[in-house]
Amino acid sequence: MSALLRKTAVRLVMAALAVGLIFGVWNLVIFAFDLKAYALPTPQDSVATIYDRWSTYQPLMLQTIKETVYGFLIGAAIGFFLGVAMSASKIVQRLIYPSLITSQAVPVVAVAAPLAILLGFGLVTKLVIVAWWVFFPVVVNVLDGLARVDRDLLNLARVMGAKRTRTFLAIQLPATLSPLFSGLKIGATYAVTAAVIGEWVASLQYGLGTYLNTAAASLDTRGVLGATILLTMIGITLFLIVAAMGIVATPWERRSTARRRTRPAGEMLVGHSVETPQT
Amino acid sequence: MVRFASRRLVLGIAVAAALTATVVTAAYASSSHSTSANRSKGLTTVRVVFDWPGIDFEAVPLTVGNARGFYKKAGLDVKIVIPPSTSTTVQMIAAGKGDIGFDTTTDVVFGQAAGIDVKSIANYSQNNNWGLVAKPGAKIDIKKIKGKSIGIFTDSWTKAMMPYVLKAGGVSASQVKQPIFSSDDIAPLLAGKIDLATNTLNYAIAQVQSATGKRPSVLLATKFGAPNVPVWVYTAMNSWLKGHGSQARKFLSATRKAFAWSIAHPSAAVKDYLKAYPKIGGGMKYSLDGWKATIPALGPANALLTQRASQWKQVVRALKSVKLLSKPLPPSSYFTNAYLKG
Repeated sequence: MSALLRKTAVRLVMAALAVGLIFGVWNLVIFAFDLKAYALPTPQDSVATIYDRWSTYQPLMLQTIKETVYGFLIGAAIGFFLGVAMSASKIVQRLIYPSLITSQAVPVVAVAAPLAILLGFGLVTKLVIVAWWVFFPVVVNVLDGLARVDRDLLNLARVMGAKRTRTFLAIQLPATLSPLFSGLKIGATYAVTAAVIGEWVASLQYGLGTYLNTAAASLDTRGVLGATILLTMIGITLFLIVAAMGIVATPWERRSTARRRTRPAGEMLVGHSVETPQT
Repeated sequence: MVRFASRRLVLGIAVAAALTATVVTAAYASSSHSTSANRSKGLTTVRVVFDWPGIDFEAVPLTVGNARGFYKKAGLDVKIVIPPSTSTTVQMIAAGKGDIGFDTTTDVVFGQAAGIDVKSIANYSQNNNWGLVAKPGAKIDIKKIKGKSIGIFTDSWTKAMMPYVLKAGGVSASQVKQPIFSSDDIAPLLAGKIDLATNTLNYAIAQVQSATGKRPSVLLATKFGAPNVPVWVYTAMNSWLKGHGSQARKFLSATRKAFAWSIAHPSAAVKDYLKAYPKIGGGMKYSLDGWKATIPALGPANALLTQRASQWKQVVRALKSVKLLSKPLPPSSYFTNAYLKG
């Protein structure tokens, strides 16, 4: 078994153990506090409900995934561009930053009605709410990343006559990647909750969020927990996808040298002259 | 150095533990204060769990009962408990977090279906005041709803009532737009984003009147074939009723007097309510409009709080028809009038 396969297997076992631990604690809480199924059904019952009602859950889940992913992408793009714009101009930063902080302090539910009236009851309102939650950690992290770019590298580029765009692409952009992915991972975990809130604001189509309300209104706690598990899975999956993309986009986080097999002769001196190869 | 650090750590933990103990003791003392104060006054506290995560004018009879001494005379001190969400009242009384619940009729049916031995002990309202709402001055023609946009909520009552709307309009669900709302469909209605809203009319009237100063156009669902069944009831667990039957009787007897008084003196009753909840009660105009719009649903004075077996049959039938209920129980499983006597 190769080292990579062994590593993956260990990680999968650990993930399974973590899920087992959560389910164990869940069962323990039910047992310790003598909770009845109407208050909190067991994880086994909740998972069984997903299986039994899959034909109901599936279209709802697809709807919520659509809102979550599209909203996340929009929020991430807005966050990145705002971060770059604010970093490039102190005036823009001073003008926009207070508004951004204020936007996060406003409870979305409080502006639900005006949002629905302004944007309608379709997908747009939900996308705005998801993007609203996602963009902020991205802005903050991108801004932070750009503020921490090595000044010597920037000065060197300037001395060597590099233009602003070239400096941004070659030095600043790579420097934002690690903090950007930190922001995206936070945003990925927020996105699904935001999609649920978006569905609660107003919807023309049922998703898992609206189903939560309907199931809760008829004391169907198994249905509520089944939907909650699916929502959690959407959030975790989105997080893992973003984390995997982060690993691919920032190889220097794990290795300080390029892989030997893929490194053409002579590149080391040009591309990695400031780093000490590990032995 | 390490020893010094660990000594500081131990000291820190000790201080934190002492502070925590002080806070917990103070909290316990303050929470038990009212109970012990009531004991010294000879009053028994009855906790009524409200149906909504915020207080509103439907609590008027309970606050009047306290303010005008109806409960005190019965040896009771009624405390209103606000639930965390719209669908937890039954769960709260089942978990012993309250004695009496203020629920929708459908909650009792779903509670029984979920294995909770909850029973309705009195009607709050006698009539079904759910219906369609349009902007002030607009006409509601149930036969012309094809292609219209009708705001709906995710609750079971709306789900049970909507088939009657569609049937009366001669349309299928796909022939009308049904935007789903969780908290409010009146603001989109007034903004012209939907053609019709659905709601219990006491809330719709209060909201529209306080926003526009005009009465909205309304059409009761009972006018186009929906069953005339009460929306709200007072509930309790059978286990609680077995040990506290006398308290339940005293509570309902005093509540009935409080209802009668509140119906006869709406303005004074709302003032009592706002005195109990000055900051979160909703304001005089909204609350008075709402309470006045609630009164017609409470029924005649001689039938206040009294339940009918037929109302439960109709509720169960409506829920079964929309597949929200699979195994209906006999009406006697859902209600009792036993605690209204005496």
